[in-house]
Amino acid sequence: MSFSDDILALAIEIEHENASLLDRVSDVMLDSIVNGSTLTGAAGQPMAPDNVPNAGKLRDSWRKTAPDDNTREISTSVDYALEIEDNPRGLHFTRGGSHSVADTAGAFDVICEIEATKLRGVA
Amino acid sequence: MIWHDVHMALRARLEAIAEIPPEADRAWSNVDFTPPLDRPYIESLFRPGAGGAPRLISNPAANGVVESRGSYIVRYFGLTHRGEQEISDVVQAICDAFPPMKQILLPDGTHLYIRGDQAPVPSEILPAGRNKSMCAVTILFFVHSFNSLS
Repeated sequence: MSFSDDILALAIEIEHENASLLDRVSDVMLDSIVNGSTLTGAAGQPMAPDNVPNAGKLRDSWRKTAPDDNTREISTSVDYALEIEDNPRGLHFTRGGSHSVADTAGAFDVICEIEATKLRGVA
Repeated sequence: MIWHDVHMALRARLEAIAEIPPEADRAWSNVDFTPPLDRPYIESLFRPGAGGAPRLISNPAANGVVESRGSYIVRYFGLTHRGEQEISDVVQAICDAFPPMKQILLPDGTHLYIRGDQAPVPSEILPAGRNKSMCAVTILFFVHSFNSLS
């Protein structure tokens, strides 16, 4: 193989790894937002007791989409999601809590580092 | 590194801001406080570990550097239906007091740092009930300390 062949092969490998890393990181972030995470400190989405109507509506609403090859979006269409995230009324939750999106976003660099390390198989 | 020292250092910097409400209208944790109905008040949430659990960032483990992170959320409650300016002025002053990579001295001589990758920014102004609208500033910070295995 020529040097240019080697470079091309490396570029393709990096491209594949980037795509894989993008999905791994966004999966971890979605899980953190919805279920909480000791890594990020996120509490996860609050849930009402199971006997309450619409219990779990917000929690189940979070979705990950791929608008293009280089973008992953994590979103919810529930209109009170921001009220839960920022919690202006100081509500207390027995399951989950607020600030999960902020906590997860705050750990973005750590998540990327950990997932990149796993991808490379480095201990 | 003592978490309480980090908390108090952040609070001291907050309390030095001229624009925040007077002492009687500051709701600090574990202190009895009744929110006033006719004037603004402020509260803060100190959240160690938010944005990343403490971790060893250099080897060897003995005396390696531990990075501890957290968030300090300052919540300002202005009077509702009064427009945005008054609330915006206060939260702007809070953001300005915690610029990216600002070093704040701790009692043990080390520093806590305001994170430079995600600087403080105001939230939306949201209705908070009881004649109040809230705007929050999330301040992300980190502290480096030496890992003691003894």
